[in-house]
Amino acid sequence: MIEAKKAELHNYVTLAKNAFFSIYGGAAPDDEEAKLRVTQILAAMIYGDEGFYFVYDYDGNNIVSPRQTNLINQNWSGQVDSNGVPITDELIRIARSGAGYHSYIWAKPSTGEPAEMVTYVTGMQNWRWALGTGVFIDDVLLTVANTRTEVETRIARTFVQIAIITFLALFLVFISGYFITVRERRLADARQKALTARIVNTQEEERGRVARELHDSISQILVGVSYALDLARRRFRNGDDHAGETLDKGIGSLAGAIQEVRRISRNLRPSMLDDLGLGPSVKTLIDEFSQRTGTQSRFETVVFRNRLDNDSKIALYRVAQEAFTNIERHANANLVTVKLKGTRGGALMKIIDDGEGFVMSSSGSSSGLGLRNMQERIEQLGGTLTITSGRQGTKISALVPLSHILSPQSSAKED
Amino acid sequence: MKQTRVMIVDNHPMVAEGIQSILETYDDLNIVACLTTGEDALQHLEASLPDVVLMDLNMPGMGGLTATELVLERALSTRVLILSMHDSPEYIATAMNHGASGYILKDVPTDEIKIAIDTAMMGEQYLCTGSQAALGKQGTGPQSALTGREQMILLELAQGKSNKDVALLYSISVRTVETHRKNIKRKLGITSTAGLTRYAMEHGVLQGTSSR
Repeated sequence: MIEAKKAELHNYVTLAKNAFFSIYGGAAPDDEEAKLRVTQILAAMIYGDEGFYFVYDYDGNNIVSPRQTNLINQNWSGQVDSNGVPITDELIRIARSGAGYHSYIWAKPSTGEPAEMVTYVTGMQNWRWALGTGVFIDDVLLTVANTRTEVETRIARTFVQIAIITFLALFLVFISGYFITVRERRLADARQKALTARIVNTQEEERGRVARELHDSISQILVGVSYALDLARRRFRNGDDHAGETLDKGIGSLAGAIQEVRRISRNLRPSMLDDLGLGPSVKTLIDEFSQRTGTQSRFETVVFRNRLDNDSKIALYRVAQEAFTNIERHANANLVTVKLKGTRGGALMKIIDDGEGFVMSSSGSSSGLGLRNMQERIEQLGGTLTITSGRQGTKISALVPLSHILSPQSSAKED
Repeated sequence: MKQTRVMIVDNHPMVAEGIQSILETYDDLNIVACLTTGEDALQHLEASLPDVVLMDLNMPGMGGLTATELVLERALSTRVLILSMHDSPEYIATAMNHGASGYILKDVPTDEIKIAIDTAMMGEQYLCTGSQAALGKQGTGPQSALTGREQMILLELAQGKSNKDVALLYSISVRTVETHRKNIKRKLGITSTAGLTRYAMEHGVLQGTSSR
């Protein structure tokens, strides 16, 4: 904006010069009449609120000052503004060297208020005159200041708007995130609850079953034995020949009780897992399964035995148990193959059937829960359980990492 | 008449005493020791010099299977009969694989124990009534797995130990180690020690050198 004003000033001065060129161009340095005529022309050329032309001779005497006529015919060399900037001397210096701009504080002709002004001054060397015009730029500065304030306000407003929008967006994200989390957690909780409920139920069912079996079979048998022994004692006392028979009957019943205990105990936890290891236990499982269902079975293992730690043995055993239960219930398989071996990656158990397979997404059903149980058990050990199922059958592989295979040292001690 | 020296190893006192009282009724049996753990059995082996050991399968400590192997390693002429509650073919097959001369279920009539002892003394194997049935269903039984002792020795050999080192480590004779080595190689179908090492590594039982 200041540059625009400066260009304007330049134009005004050129305009003025052109206006009296016909007089000045042909006049001699001492043509007082020409000077007077030019003086009059310039004095008449006032414009705007504050606009006027001024002339100083190179000695500092004011010749033209139409708005502040009290300046005329006085010598102003040495004049400075309120900031100590030389005025007249500088204008003359510029004029002597051609033309140029100068800015300083000057009292406004209209109000007498001092204000910043920019002046364009040009030298009329023939007459040793400095001709110029100026413009107060306080309004410009004001405008600039206003504009700046306005821009700043707008920036501030935009900033606030952006801040609000950002905040809202963040809030929205946070809220939706929160709700999603809550929902997820609620789902997980529900799932957990279902699982816990199922575990508790299973546990209670199991206890009930064991209690019933103990009561129904073993207690009754033992009561029978007790009666038999009692009877035998009485018969001995009476010298009855049948005493021995009664004792035999009691011994026979006791054998039955032992059988029962063995069956119940094995159902609870196969001690074979501890005594012989996973291989023989799984082999027993698969043999029983084969016998029960008539399904063909194959079992492949290696010569190593009982080299897994307890957690992995029981986990893999339960996986096998669950798998056989599923195969028996759903798969309608002809052949089940179990492979059990140690590898460089750990202990690997594969259970492959050629049955109907199933769709994996049936996670709500009880078999889905069983599969998840299997998965969780193996994952707890840092292992992986992968299940692939299709029309040609189902394949379950459970891998338990090497860290669960007993080192020679610890197993040597254990043995 | 020469008596048969019998050692009873069972951690259930009721069972051990029961067997002892029953066997004491036979004149040709001499109960030389009645112990509760495999470790005890090994300790009393030299003092008692039993002809037959009646060994329980489930015992705290080393357990019956390992004890059987170790007894047979030290006293070559002794026979071990396994006494067990378990009628599963896997148990029976494993027990026989560990060198037992017979397998007796605890719930069979006690006469069978005497028959088993006599059979073992004649150098033959005896499977009691229930266990024969169990094995019968099985056919020939499982593929010959390594015994616990054989596994231990395999691992030592696989790590480059010599027969002598192993013999020292387990305080057994070099010849016994040699026998084990032969059995291991036969069971695995492997002829070289490097082959044994590779086999152990590939099956995850020997994990580099870190286990040393």
